[in-house]
Amino acid sequence: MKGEDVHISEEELFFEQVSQQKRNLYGIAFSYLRNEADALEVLQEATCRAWIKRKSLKDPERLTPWMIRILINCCMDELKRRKRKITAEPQRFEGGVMELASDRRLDMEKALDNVKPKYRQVLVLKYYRDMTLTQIAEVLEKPEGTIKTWLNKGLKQLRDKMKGKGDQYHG
Amino acid sequence: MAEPEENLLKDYFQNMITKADELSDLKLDAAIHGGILRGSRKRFSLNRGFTIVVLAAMAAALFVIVPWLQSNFEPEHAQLPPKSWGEFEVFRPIIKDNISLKSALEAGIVQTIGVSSEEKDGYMLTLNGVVADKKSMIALYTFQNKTQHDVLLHGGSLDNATSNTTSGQSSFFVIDSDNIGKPGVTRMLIQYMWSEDQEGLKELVANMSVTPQTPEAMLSSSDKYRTTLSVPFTLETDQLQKNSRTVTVNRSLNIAGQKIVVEQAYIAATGIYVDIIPYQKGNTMQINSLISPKIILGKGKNAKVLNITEHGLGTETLIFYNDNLDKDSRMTLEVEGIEGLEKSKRDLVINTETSTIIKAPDNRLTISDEKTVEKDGVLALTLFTPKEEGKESLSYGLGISDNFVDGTGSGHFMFRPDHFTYSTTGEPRHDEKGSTTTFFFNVGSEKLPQPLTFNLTFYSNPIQETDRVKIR
Repeated sequence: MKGEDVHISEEELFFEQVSQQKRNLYGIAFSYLRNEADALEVLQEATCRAWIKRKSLKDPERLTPWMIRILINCCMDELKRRKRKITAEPQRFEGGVMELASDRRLDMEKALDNVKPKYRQVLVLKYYRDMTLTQIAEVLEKPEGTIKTWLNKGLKQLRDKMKGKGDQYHG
Repeated sequence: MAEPEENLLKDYFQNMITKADELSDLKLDAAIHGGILRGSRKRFSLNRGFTIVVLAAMAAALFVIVPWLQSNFEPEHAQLPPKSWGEFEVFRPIIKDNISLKSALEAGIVQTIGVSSEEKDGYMLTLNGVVADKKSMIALYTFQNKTQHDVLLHGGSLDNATSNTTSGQSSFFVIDSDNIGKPGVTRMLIQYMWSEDQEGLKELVANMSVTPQTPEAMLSSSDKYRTTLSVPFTLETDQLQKNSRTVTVNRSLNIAGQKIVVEQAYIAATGIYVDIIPYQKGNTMQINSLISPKIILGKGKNAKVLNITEHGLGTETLIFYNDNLDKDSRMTLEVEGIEGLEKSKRDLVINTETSTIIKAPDNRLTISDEKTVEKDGVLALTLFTPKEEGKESLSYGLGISDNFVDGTGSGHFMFRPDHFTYSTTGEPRHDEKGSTTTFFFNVGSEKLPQPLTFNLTFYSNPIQETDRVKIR
């Protein structure tokens, strides 16, 4: 009976820990996939992977950066799958309802989609989550110098992708 | 100076934040529960004690303490001989606790589908049947794994075949825990929550992904290990209306002088969806939880109890099982109490230098000397919740908002060492007297004028007083 209690408690505790981050995690997924259903699915899959591999997390206090890393992996999986499955599908939003999206936002989406995944994850964590380079380095388990390089390269790629729209926004 | 791209990115992501904030806690919690459930490869047993850990970050939200102790039906009903489910009989072992589905099968309102995906990489998925309403769809699947290795099933989604948009998101898997993922045949049910209004929905494609359970496949960012199976099918849309009705209630539960408005109930094949409004102007308490909400069907000796579902812990909608065999009996929502705190007691005043609690709702809260990985600037508070006679479920929650005021009235924010959280919760410790949980708050190590005043967003304070509202 005691064993059962402990097991149940572990599930609940894990739920609590992940749930405290649910909007942040969902937000990151949404920033990648821009679709409610896909973002929820990725949150579910990342939770599943984290739950299965939870014993490998040496420091439970670092659950959040670890979860973010898994979630970003799942997002990249989904983007690859989507690219392969839907090559010519127009941009869509949840429920198939296209919002009245501004040109600027669509251009940004298009540009972000074409930024290398490893640079894009730094852009998301820095500009969406407002994280410092040190914090991003911890999440992605890379040296801070590498993160700084990726950030600069990401911004440069973004700039290049948006060239041509430049008069509109940079002026 | 920020580059133009940086400003554009910030603007762009700000829009994303707004969008992400619009999603209900119900869907997010369901996704997390679904992930854990999928990963643990077992189902929750409704007969086990199920203790809700109160989430500090969600303290403003309302959720529900569920005993999970009663069976969904009174014993005399459980002893009735089961009716045959025909071709769905093979699913009986995995759906015995889902009263909505069980009664739908007995009422004959489950639509037979019987369509299989093509066989890919040794995997095949068959959609045997579905039952749907405008909120949700429950699907019965058979999965065949003809390989020699265990697999993980995931990625359950529904696409609208005509517009190629996602129509439904799997929120809950219940799988034959003995066989899941193993080579051979696995039976499972998946519940989907519809993305939006599903008027006109008809041609659908059910998708499922399969990944071998190997470490490299599980943590890989590549999809080379993943196989996607698709089953196209036609949903009989008249199902969405035929077996459901919306009842306007607009009555209030009145517990300890607090009003909780019950707006309406959607009584349908997959469940009973009750919309409530817990926040009322006249309420002197902040209500955080309802204690043991349930639906009573019928009255007197023949009354049945319909419990809240595994994913029905909503902030504004409670989801209960429905008995599809009983469309006429009196239906009553019963609540055994609330978790609430007088708004006047929400200030928590502490001198963190002398470790003295100056003002708290009661004497169950103490300062602890336990430590976290952050050595300095962490306030550790221990909450003791006494065990009540005959009760197996205890709530042991404490929530404090992320800002506080010092002795001179200046405001401060708590620190977020990992950028996201300013608090962590220790493992609850149980003994014969009750449960003790320690909560850690990163107030920071800066010397501040004392005392510090915190705002309690949640404080476990159950008030047991039963009230009922008639639904039909």
